[in-house]
Amino acid sequence: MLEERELVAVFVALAVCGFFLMNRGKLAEVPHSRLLIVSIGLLTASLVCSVIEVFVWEDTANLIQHTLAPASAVVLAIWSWLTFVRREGSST
Amino acid sequence: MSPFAESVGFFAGLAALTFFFVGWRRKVKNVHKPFFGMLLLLVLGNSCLDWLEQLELLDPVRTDVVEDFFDLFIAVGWAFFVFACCEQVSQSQFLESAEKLQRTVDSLPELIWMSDANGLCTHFNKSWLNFTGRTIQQELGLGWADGVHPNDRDRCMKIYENAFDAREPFTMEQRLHRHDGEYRWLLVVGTPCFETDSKFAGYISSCIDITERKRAEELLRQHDQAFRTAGTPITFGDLDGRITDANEAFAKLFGFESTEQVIGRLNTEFHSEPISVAQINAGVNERGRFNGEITSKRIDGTPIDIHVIATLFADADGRPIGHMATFTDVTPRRQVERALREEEKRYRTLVEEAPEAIVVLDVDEMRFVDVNENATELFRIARKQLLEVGPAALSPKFQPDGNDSAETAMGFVQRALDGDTPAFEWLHLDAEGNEIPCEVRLARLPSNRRLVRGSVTDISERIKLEKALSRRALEAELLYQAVAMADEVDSLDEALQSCVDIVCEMTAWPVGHVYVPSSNGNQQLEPTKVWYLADEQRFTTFREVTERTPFDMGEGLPGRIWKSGEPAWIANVQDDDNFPRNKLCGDLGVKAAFGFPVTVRGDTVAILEFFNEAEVERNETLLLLVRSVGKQVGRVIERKEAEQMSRKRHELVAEELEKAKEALILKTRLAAIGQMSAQIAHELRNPLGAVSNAVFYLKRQVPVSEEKWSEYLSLIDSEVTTCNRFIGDLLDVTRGKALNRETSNLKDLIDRVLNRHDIPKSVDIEINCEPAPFEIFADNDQIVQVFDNLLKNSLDAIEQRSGKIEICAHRDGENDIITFSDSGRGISPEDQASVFDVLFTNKPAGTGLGLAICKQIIERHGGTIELVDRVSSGTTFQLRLPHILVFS
Repeated sequence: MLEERELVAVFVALAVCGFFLMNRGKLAEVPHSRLLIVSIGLLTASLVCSVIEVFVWEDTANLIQHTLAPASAVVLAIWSWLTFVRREGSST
Repeated sequence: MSPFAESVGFFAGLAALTFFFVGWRRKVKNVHKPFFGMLLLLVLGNSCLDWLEQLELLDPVRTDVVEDFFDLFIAVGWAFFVFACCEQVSQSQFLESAEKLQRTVDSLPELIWMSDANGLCTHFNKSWLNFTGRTIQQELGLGWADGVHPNDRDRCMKIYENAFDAREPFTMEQRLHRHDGEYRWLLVVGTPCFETDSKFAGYISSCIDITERKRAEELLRQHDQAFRTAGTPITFGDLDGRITDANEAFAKLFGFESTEQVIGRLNTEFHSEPISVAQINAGVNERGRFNGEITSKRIDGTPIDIHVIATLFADADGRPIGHMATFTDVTPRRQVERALREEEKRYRTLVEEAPEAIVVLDVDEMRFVDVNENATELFRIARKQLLEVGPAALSPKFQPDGNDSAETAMGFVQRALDGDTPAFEWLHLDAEGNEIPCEVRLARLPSNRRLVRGSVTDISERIKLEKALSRRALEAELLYQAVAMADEVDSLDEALQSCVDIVCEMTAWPVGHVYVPSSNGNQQLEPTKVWYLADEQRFTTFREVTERTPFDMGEGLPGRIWKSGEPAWIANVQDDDNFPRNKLCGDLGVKAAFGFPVTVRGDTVAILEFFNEAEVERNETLLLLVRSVGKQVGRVIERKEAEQMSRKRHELVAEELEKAKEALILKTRLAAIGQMSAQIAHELRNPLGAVSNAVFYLKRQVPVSEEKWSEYLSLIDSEVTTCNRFIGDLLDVTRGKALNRETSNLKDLIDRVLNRHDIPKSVDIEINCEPAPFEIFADNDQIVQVFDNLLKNSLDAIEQRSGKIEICAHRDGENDIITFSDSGRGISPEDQASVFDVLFTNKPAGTGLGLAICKQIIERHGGTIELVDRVSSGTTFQLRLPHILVFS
């Protein structure tokens, strides 16, 4: 059963993605912004899969949802490491 | 579902959070840390719920709801994070831009300041600070106003404040004190700055040093003013020839009321000659410049001559965009030039048509720069060649007077340069080397060059004429002088002397002499004393020999002249066979000789000969001249003789007239005396007769003893007799008795007279009459009266009553000469001329009638009586009576 909060979350995520894409020039000034867009993209895909699983491919969508969400977290961890831990001048 | 993925997600979130906290203090641009931390917490919470759910440590139903909320929160967290990052980026970019702007502002050459929302300046760029030489601390706030020029400060502050209040841009010009002390003009452009929320943030203003521009503007303004007010007409036009601007002078020149009427017109509207416009446009567009004169027209159509200088001007890229033209009204000058051209043409014609050759000499180059046609003809040289030479090439090295031609010519040229107008005669040479005597007049030409005009006249003919005229004048002078001097003299010798002198002086021949035909008729010429000798001492021998040398007809120079009656010429007497004196002449160096006759009424009266020391060729002119002189002198002499004869006749006539006049006067006087005497005689004779009768009676009555009575009566009788005789004489003088001639013996008549007088014995009377008897045919009574008067005068003149009276008579040709001489006191010289005048006497008892009666009687007989001057004392009267033979 599709929950309204899931749709809101999807819409919010899609809006964030859209905003990101629209301001990608400005947000390019954010360090390693590509990782952030990947992360938000993975999260959005995960949220979309949570909605899809309600209608079709429940298991596959669920699996993808639960796979993409950690992946988004991993990407976010990587970004955090690159941004806050890794020293400038070291290898990327 | 494997919990692996959930655990990976959990630990990944945990790691991310750990990394975040590890690098929390690090400065990370463009990352909003709080939202990111919150996002990480949501992710970690969601992962933790998923992992616990997979570990089945939580109720899945409840967990799903929470997870759904977590998903929603994570999405929102991402939204906040992304928005925050975006804002961070924007803010960062703004700050970077601001920094960049500040750096840029500092690097700009313009002077820039910025102010905050309160109007206080917060920043000044380096250019400003370098310009003012002040620190930024001194300029901040309102410190910058200290550098504004005092005269501009209030105005600028007011502009700034007004713009500030209105939040509007402003522009103003102000003078700012530069570090070197100079106030420089700045153009201040202020722009209000607003923040992103339209909040007023202050002003940013740029200042540009426009001092040079201001100067350029001032210069441009001055130029524009000069252009507008310039007296020279100026126009600006585009490339099509359309006038874009013009000044008042141009409008006035072409008759417009204002420049507005000019602007927009094509320049073709001003020119009456299209070709001129085309030349101007072509000159300007192709060569960038036109400089020339054309004829234009005013708005009213009147022509005007203008000098146009048109130049092309270009924009900053060098592309031509129009032209500028200046105009000068040259109408007056063109008119003057036309007049000058006409005048020049006229003068050129005058020069070319002038009868004399005219040349213009450039003194500095000493060559001709202009000549007329006559000059080329005179010098027989082409104009081109003549213009390549100077006067030196056309003159001999020396002039006839021996002066150097070049030096003399320069002297005349210098006089001309000094303002004089020398005129002189000059010997020129033509191209063929022929001498041309010329008269040259020089005058300096008005020019900045040293030019001298010379008018050259060929005076060859004139010189010939002058020579001929001079010869004629010499002839005339000679003739005149000879004739005049001959006319002034009274004798032939004097006339000849004058003639010789004149001929010698006029011809400069040193010797002149005159021969005359012999007066004894031996057909010889005799030398005279008439000479002209320029050097008497030198020619003394010649004179002596000549004065001893007569010539026969045909002999020598005088003889052949006498024979031919024509002048003769000997070029060298030493070579002449018929010249007896040639040896003498050879010794004296005399060579040439000529002579001519002087004829009177066809007869030669003199031969004039002249000699010269040089050999002189025959001069026909001189011979003709002296021939005329001889004839003229002869005529003068002839005329003089005629005049002398005429004068003598005139004198005779005058003398006769004088005598007649005297006789008339005498007769008139005597007539008057006669009338008066007749009356006196008539009135006196009767009383005298009565007195005489009375005396006669008384003598008879008076006794002899009364001697006194007898004496006084005798005295009365004697005086009465005297009175009667005076009256008788007076009547004789006045009446003029008629002659009753008869032949008588003179001796008888003399005796008759002697008997009348009581002649003292002391007086000797001597009578000599030859022949005897000496008969005369005369009125005896009147002749006796004459003798009586003369004898009485002689007796009266003999003093002491002692002396001698001599009466002589002889015959002189057809006249009888009778003289009465006495040895008396004589007559003084001053009285001698008046002794025959009536009533003249020097005797106390004389009547003054006796000699007058004698003269009257003798003249009535056709004779004369005169007082003969005597050397010794005494008086002699001579009577001349015509001897008349009377045949019975």
